[in-house]
Amino acid sequence: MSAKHFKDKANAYWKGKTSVQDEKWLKDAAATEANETDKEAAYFQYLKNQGDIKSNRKFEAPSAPSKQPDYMMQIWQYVAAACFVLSLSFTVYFSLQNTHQQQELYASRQLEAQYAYDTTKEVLILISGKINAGADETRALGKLNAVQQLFDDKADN
Amino acid sequence: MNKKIFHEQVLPMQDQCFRFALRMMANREEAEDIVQDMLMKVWQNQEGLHKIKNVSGWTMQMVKNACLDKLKSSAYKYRDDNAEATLGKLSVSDDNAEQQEKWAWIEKGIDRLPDKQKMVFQLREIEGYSYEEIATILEIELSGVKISLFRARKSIKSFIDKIENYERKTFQG
Repeated sequence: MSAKHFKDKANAYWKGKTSVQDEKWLKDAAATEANETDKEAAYFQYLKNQGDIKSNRKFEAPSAPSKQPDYMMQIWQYVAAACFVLSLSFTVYFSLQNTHQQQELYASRQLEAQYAYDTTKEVLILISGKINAGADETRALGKLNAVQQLFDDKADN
Repeated sequence: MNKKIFHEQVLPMQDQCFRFALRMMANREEAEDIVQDMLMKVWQNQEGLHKIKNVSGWTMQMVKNACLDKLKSSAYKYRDDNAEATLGKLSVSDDNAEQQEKWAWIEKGIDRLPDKQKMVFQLREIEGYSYEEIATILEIELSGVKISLFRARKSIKSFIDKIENYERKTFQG
């Protein structure tokens, strides 16, 4: 390798006819193969030097990956919780309401039964009284019939 | 598994990403911030890392997007007017004054490039990416990469030639 070879490669470089490997060679060879006064040498040395620049701040990863809060998920969780509480409240409210209505119904039915019983009892007592009165009449008629029979027997004799 | 990918494929990219951000932002603090933010984002969302085929390319893409967003944002005003001086301080490690001066001019030439050419130049000339990889990272056509690189080289060469001719004339005069 010589300064001429370096020069040829550099010319090819400016024409865009070099590969990544050729360009790497140019950067490496700039310090050794090229003439010190060669303007290309300074250029390729500069390119090589630029590749050595390093960041002063080294990244230190947190001990555990901190997840960013998923706001959409949080919103959905709140909505789901609200729906659950609402449905639970409605269920409790309606079941209480239902129990109350049933209690009222039972109470009213009980009252109705008592009323029906009392009414029936009164009617039966009334009927019983009338029946007794009728029996007395019948009994009196029976006595009358017996007397009539006696008179008839006497008349026949 | 994802933690392993992060440590083996993303973290080693830190310096490369930093150099890219530094080239684009021309501000060391800003470049450091962009890279740290990017790494933190990747760390926090590392669950999806195993699904990415080209992690290094994807990492560079994130830095590129962060840099362009920052440059576009109206809030970003701190683009150092002496960017080449900032970079020059970083790059020159020896006491060769003549070389320092040459490198400062080269840096000035690169800094004058449009953003797209600058990105292509950085990825190819400094980081050694192939045309295909650059096209993927920058999300542009392959022909666009070649054209941008050719124009960037031409522009830098012409700038360096002009400076050299000017210096020669001054020295002879």
